[in-house]
Amino acid sequence: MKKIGITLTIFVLTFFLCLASFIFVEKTAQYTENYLEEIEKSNDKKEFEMALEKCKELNSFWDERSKILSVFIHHDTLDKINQSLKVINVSLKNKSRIETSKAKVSAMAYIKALKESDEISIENIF
Amino acid sequence: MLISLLRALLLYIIIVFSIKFMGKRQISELQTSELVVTLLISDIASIPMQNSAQPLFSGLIPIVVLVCCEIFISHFMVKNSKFRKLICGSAVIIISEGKILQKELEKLRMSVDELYEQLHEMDIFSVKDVAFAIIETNGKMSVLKKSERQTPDSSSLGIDTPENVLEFVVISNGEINNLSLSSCGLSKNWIDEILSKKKLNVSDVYIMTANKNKEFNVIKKEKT
Repeated sequence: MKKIGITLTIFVLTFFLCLASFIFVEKTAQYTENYLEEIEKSNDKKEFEMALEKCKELNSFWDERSKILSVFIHHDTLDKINQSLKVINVSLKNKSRIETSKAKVSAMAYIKALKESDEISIENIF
Repeated sequence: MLISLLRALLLYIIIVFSIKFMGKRQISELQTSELVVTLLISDIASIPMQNSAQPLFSGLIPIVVLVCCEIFISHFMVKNSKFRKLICGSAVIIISEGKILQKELEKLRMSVDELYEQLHEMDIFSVKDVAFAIIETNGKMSVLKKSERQTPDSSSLGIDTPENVLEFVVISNGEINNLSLSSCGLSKNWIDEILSKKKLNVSDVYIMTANKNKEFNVIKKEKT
């Protein structure tokens, strides 16, 4: 019975770990999307300073979160998002509205893929 | 590369502990579910071990889940015979009173050659010598020979034989094994007494065995 108790505890802990990772990915993706939307708005209004400020915030937020995400998300996926966020930063510094917009679209696509890869859906299960 | 080494070490430790937690069994004695889990674990572990871009947890979580499921299943199998039958199947008699049960053999998809091979491994060279042959749930064959073909033992011959006494290794490579010592009801003083009579120290002994009747055997370390 002791062994079953230990197994049950490990199983429950594993389940909650998976659930926590799922929530963490969802929240991170949501925050990142919000930041990107705000950057896009500022970029459209040609408020590059404001957008750059937001982008810096996003980068520091992402750097912090990606360290934890790398524990359970494929590192290639994280590298792609990281790279596209860096491109946004450079584009904003160059005050290039079109480049920023393009980089934002690709970053959004990667974030969407990240969310979808962790989503509980029929496609993902099978 | 250092990451690969650390990952391999971590996975090795986790797998060894997981399999130990599942319980000791030999590959040939594994039940179907245990065999599946063992094969899956080795396969799953190899992916994050080779690919450092793959998070270690993507390998660890399935391993933990598989081991937990295996322990739950084995627990329920002990508790519920119907469940055990569902997972492991049941033993099948393939030879009864020297006669091969062809239908059962066919159901098991076992050829006559395979059957004979297994009988030969058990030193049986004629089906007529077999009273019953059973294929157990783990795939092993158990055979009961006909009474006239069985090797007689001391009780059937009416011979009194001395009682078997279990022998323990009480000193191994110069180290006293306290557990073995207490298992045969002996003390450290008894060892000291024996060794002093032989003018030996504990560190000079390669192996010393003893039983509860205080019968012992001492092998000295060879000088190198």
